[in-house]
Amino acid sequence: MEQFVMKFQVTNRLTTSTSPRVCGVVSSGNLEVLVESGESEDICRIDVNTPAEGFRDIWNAVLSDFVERQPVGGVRITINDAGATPAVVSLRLDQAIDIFRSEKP
Amino acid sequence: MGSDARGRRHASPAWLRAGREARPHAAMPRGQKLVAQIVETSREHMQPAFVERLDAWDLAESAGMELPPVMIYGEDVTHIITEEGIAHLLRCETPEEREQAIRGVAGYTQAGLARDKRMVENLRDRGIVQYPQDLGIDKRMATRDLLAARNIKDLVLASGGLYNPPKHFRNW
Repeated sequence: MEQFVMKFQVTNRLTTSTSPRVCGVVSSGNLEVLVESGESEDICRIDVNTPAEGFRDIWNAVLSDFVERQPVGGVRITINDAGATPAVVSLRLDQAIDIFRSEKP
Repeated sequence: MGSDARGRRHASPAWLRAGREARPHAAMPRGQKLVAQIVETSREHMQPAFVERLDAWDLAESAGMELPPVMIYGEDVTHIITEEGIAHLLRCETPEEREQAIRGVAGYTQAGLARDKRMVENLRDRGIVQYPQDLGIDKRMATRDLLAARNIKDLVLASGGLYNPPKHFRNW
């Protein structure tokens, strides 16, 4: 089990702030993504809990691409990973941001 | 299997089109066999499917073979399809373009991360590398909603009662 926090300096702020949202489930090859409002507007904080050790570089690459692709300033994300591939991680993150932005409960 | 037997008596539209795409400026029209490799960029336990050096080299050495054992040579592969996108290798004009097209769909493997981003973007502009969004596919729609059967109950209904699931899968 590996736990770490990554903080990214972001210029694009996510404007709609709604209640926390969850996307995905903790099951084999999948992951759970929790999105909520963070403390600072120009920071995106991502907490990662993963059972696979020694893939920090790949996490960094996947998450860097994600914060470049999406407006995530002022957002705090928590990931509970269960051995998801990078493609699934990117997908769930995009879906989570999508759900977080939408007004629907 | 993977090799392109270049002479052929019976042309198919796909074989002819691949021939045109592979040699757009050739004086003599030719066909090309389609060899499409579908693969996930990472296999189990994050083992990369794309590597800089094939195990075949080590195998050849340890087993005393004359050549590295290769079933399908890269030059015969016309397309690579991964979860990241499609690489139309047959349309690449130089070995460098071919290399970058492969790296462009190799995702977060070391081989993929070593891509030349500008060159891959150029290949994307020319439609040689295509990502889902270039094909009008919204990846975010990849949820259970698109499945024909979303749970065990759906499977039972779809089978007309023929499927009798184990007790612990029955939660209705």
